[in-house]
Amino acid sequence: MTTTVEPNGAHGATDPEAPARVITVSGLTTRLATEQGDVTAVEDIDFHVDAGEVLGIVGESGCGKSVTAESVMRLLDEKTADYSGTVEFDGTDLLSVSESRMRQYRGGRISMIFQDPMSSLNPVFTVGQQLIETILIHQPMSKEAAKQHAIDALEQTGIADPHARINDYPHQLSGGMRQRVMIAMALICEPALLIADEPTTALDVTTQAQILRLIDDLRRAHDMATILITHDLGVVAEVCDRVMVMYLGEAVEAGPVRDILDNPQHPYTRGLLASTPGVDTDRTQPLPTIPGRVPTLYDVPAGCRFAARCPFAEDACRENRQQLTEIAAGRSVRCWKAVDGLIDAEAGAPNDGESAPPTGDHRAEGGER
Amino acid sequence: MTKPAHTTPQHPEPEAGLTRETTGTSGPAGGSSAAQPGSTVGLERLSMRQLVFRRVTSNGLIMTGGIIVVIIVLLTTFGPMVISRGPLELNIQDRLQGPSGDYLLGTDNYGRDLLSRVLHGARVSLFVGFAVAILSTVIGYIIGMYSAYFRWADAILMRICDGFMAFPAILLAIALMAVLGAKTSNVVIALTVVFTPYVARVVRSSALVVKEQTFVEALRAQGASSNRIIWLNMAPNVVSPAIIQATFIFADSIITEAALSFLGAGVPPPAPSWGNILLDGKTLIFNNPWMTIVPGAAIILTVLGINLLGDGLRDLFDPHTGKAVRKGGGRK
Amino acid sequence: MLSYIVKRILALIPVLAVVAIVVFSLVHLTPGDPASVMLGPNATSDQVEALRSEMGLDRPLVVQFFAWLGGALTGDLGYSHFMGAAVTSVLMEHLGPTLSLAILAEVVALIIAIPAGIIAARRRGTAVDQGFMAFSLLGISVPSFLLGLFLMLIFAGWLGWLPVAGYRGLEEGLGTHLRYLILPALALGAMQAALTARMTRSSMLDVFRAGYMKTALAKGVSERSRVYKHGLKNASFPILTVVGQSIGTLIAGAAVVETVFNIPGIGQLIVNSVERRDFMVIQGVVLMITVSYMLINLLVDILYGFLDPRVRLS
Repeated sequence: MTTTVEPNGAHGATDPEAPARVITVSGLTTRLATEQGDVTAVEDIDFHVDAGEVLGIVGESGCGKSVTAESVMRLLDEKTADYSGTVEFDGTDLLSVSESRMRQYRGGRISMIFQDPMSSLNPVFTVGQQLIETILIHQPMSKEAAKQHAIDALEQTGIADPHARINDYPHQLSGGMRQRVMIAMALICEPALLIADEPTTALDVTTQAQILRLIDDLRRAHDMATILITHDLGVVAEVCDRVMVMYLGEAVEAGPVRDILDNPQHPYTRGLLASTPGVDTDRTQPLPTIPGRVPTLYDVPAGCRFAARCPFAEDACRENRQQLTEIAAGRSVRCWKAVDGLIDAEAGAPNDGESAPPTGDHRAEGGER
Repeated sequence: MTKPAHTTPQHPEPEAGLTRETTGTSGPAGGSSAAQPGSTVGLERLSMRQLVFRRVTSNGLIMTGGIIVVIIVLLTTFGPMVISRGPLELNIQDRLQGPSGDYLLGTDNYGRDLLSRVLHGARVSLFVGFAVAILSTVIGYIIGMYSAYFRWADAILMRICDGFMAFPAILLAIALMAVLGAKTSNVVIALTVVFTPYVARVVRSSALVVKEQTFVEALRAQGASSNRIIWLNMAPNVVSPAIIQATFIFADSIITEAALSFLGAGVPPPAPSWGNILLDGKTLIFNNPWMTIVPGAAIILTVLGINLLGDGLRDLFDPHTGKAVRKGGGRK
Repeated sequence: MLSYIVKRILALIPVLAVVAIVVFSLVHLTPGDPASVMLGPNATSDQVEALRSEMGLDRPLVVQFFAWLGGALTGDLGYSHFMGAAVTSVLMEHLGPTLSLAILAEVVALIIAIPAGIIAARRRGTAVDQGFMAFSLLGISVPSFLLGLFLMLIFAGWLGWLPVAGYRGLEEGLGTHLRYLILPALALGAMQAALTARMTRSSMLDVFRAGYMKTALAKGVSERSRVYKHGLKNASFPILTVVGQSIGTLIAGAAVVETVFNIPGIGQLIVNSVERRDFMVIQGVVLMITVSYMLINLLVDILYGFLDPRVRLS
């Protein structure tokens, strides 16, 4: 690592007006033991999030975005996962605190919402029992007070008649309602950091927009730092401040959302954007896709990990490991050709029609369908 | 991005059209099927390797079980030829001896050579187990296939199977032996009655899955006869679960035959079977424990070998049970 | 929930009908005339005739069946000549030791199986787990009567810690009762323990993979509470089903183990009846055990419904 670039975005670290830094992750590497041998699921990840800010982590299935999130909270099986690097939160390195200390952070100062609300709630306990359990772990109070607190939290997430819903079991609620319960549970102890791992993927399209808006509203109301993991660039365009694009366990590009969407540098980011339908996409034509398939973590290429699928790749790419390099303030890319401006030259201006970036309008359109 | 879409190899997930998963017309199901992408770190793409790995490990079970079974079959086949004494040969003066150069495993209360009796008994026990496994599998296969194919047959046959399966196996076997009379062939009949419904159930449920496949529909549309579809097209696809079931029935029959003979309701004396050697040994257990230990060890080893084989076969044929094998041994 | 219970009960009816027909047919399956088989070769033709008419064998089969079924439904399972008593009362006399043995075996099985299964699941893939799997495979490969013989040889014979055989009722004190029953219960319970432990292990492993376990971790729930509160409660439903099914197997298996340890229960009754070819008693025992097995499973199903909110509230 020559430069430890942090995608700083709009607010610089030295600005006295800047909101408080909530989490700083540096050099995060997670190795997992599997039957076929050890793999490095994510490698050398750096990012930070400030209070009230939303960082998007984008990539395809298996690119390591969920492992990144779960590593921050140390949710992976201790027997098979091995973390290195630092996760600085509240002035403490979370990767080096004891498990019992870590438990106090989980659900208290840092919360997580998962993809599938069907399986994320325990089917044999009521909504109330699950909410109250969370409260009582982190805040000593009477059961009655905790119950009232739980009802208030449900109300905050827009659930009608929370007094009745609190006695329901998860299977009695719709998918959207369950995700609201998950959100209520995540926010009930007013965490400083919320990690949402594909929170809308399992929901139907109309509910997706509602849930996304709910998370965004609550984030604003509580001035929470938020990490939003998604494969949906539309979602990123709509709610994120900054974005980190991941490919095969590495960050390939990071920076402010508008910069990345309007002026993608890494060929992978370009590919992603091109394959995303925009408002002006000709829907009679098939969308372009990135050729080839993602290699597995068991045979990570020696050079650039994206080289095999990259239309711009040359021998140097396949031979040399790429470094994440800062190209502007808060903007970095892991591609030497992009750093040298060669890609723009080969592909033409990034915005000449072919890669229409998705916009908030497009998302809204998707949401209403 | 200049390459046209049609050059993309067909692979469901890693195609780049990420947003299409959810924002397109695919609806709610599109995204949820790609459950928890990151947490398995692309393991799903390793299914071929996993399969190979699993085959090796299950071969471990199959190998161990197979070797045990082969040794026992060899001993059963050739052992009695090598032993000079017959299983019924009485030497009253040598009764209840421990192991010696003369009698390798000692003698029973009539002075009969225990080694010879256990080896000859093995023939009876293995014969019963094998015969029951074959008969119940064949009959169960027929019942299961017809039940799966014809709704009317299903209603009748499966109710009958449920009725038979409601009896605890050993109890039904005892009752049947009581009315049929203690005789080796009756043991085979009784145990076949007891175990056939279990095969029928397994075959039926697997055959129902096969029946839903389009090729069966196509054959029916072409006017192929029911029997042709059932036996030439569907039946071969149900072989593996039936074989696994047959293996377990083999083991269970050996146990049940031994229990029946031990209760005096199985293979009648003086012919040896593992169960009735144990029955003879029961009253003399403290005088001559060998009469209990030797046939007992023979039963345990045989059943263990067959169960290992069955477990191995199940792991090999059924990828779902292998789901438990995910993250290997921890490194820490 | 009510419709769930009604459905379960209705599903039992055809099974009960088949069971009744099979049990009734038992007597008629015997090669030759049941009455003369029962009385043995020395009986006079008058005696055979008398038994025939007493058993109703001279009437048409259908009439016999319904007469028998009507009796069975009202608790009349016929009369045993050998015992000189009604089959029902003979059964009742022998029921106590068998129930005691089966219950103790179930308790032994659960005490061993559930902790072992949980530990194996938590230590998945380690030597502990492999040892557990090997031991449980051994457990399902050793027939109970054989284990009984071995236990008797070791603990009663060589070590002399426990009585060799026999039975002392509860009226002689719990300690004595258990001393006589512990070896048979271990012998009978071992296979059940192995089966239940394997089930516990695999359902715990399923539960560990569930999303809500990750949620619990992310909420800050302690490891102990995660495993025993969130995990075990979910895993308990499939375990409960196995336990329900095992009770019938245990009662039937008691028949064989009782013979090993000379316990005067249902098992010894049936073995003696087989020797005597006392078909009336055999019929009665088989019917009673099978029907109570089915009823226990029905109860477990209903209990399951009460415990699992997904069933209760659907």
